[in-house]
Amino acid sequence: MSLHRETLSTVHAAGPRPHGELVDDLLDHAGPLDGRPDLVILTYDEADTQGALTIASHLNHRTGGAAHSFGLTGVGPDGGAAAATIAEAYHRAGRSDYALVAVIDGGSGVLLRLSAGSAAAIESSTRSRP
Amino acid sequence: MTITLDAVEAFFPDRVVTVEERAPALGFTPAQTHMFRRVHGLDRMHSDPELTQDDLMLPAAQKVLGSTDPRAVRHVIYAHALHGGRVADSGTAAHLRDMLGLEHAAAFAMTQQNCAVPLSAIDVAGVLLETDPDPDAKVLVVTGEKLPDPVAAAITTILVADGAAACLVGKDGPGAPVRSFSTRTRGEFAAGLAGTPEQFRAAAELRPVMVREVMDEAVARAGCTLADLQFIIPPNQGLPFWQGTLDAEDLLEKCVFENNARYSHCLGADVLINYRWLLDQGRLEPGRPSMFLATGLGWTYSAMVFEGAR
Repeated sequence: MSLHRETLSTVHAAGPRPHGELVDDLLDHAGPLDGRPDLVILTYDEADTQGALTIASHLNHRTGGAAHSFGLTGVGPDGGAAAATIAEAYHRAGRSDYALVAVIDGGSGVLLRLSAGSAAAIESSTRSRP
Repeated sequence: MTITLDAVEAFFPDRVVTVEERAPALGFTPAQTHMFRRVHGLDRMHSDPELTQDDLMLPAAQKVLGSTDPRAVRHVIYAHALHGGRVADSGTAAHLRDMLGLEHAAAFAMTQQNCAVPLSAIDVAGVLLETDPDPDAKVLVVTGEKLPDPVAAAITTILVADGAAACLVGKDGPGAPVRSFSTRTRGEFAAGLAGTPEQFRAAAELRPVMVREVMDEAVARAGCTLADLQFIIPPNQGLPFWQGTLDAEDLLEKCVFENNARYSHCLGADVLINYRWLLDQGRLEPGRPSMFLATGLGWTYSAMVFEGAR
């Protein structure tokens, strides 16, 4: 069964912003998440202006710290689709039911949830994870 | 179905320098140079100022492809440690794919784990292959970053050298079967080298705990124990880095530390370089489990158990 895809929040700005600020804004706009993701992917094409910071790790930390997280680049405007392909593969392999994807594009961003079930089901299935 | 490391190759430029030649060239003091040799266990390394990024990352990738049918390669993953555009940019993965004549393959880069990234790249390759109906499908994972001297000089914890590696990942192939993968990320340390001294100290104190946690989980998932492992293959991040974990009496004899002195730290390429080095010496026993370890600023800790190819 495919993952259900849901847009949790979006942010827009005229020019490029540090990825960390965009990710924090996306999370703040999304509000409290149901459960903790088991897969976190940060996708972008233009490198962060604050390149020393590992923003995928920061996003993982802010969303429960229980996920396998990494950055995905080099896929142009299809970053969200490429991340979704990987999330689907992990799901079919039985290793992910709840992926969180942040797509950064210049000063804009989108936060996506790809989940196997409803928010209530996610909350129930992830509450007891270490 | 089993994910297999069907071919692994490494590449270094010919030029070899000693710690005493390389460290001062990067602006390190005599005391730091002494520390790299006496404390970290470094000696010599490959370093060529004329080398380009293409010169570094292409040869291992070309060699690992060998006689593989190019059409079988579904994805090209360029796994790079440094993010922020300091070495690789958004076009590097596609450029690599095109230079290899694999235009039909999807190309992307993985990063944001610093030096832990190769194991995640192999894991992603594995799940992508699991969903590919073609039993002969392959994924090419390439590592290797040519750092400009100012970037290399900013990494003060170890000397970074020139080295690259590539891995052709398949399923039920002739290579080493991958038995498990375990990873943890502690994003409270996302600032990495830009963190405060307190964050640095806290991360260092936590490291042995987290490394042991992923090691224990990886062997449990693989159905073996740490005692069963033939080798533990960490990156060449210097000997003190592993204090509190790999210096335990029962683990130390299994650890591949020799290449700290031979190659120094080649960022995300280290573990595959060390694997190739063991393979060249015929030291990996068929069917016996060994473990890759990888850690990266930010901080991510990963372990992967594989078996020697039969």
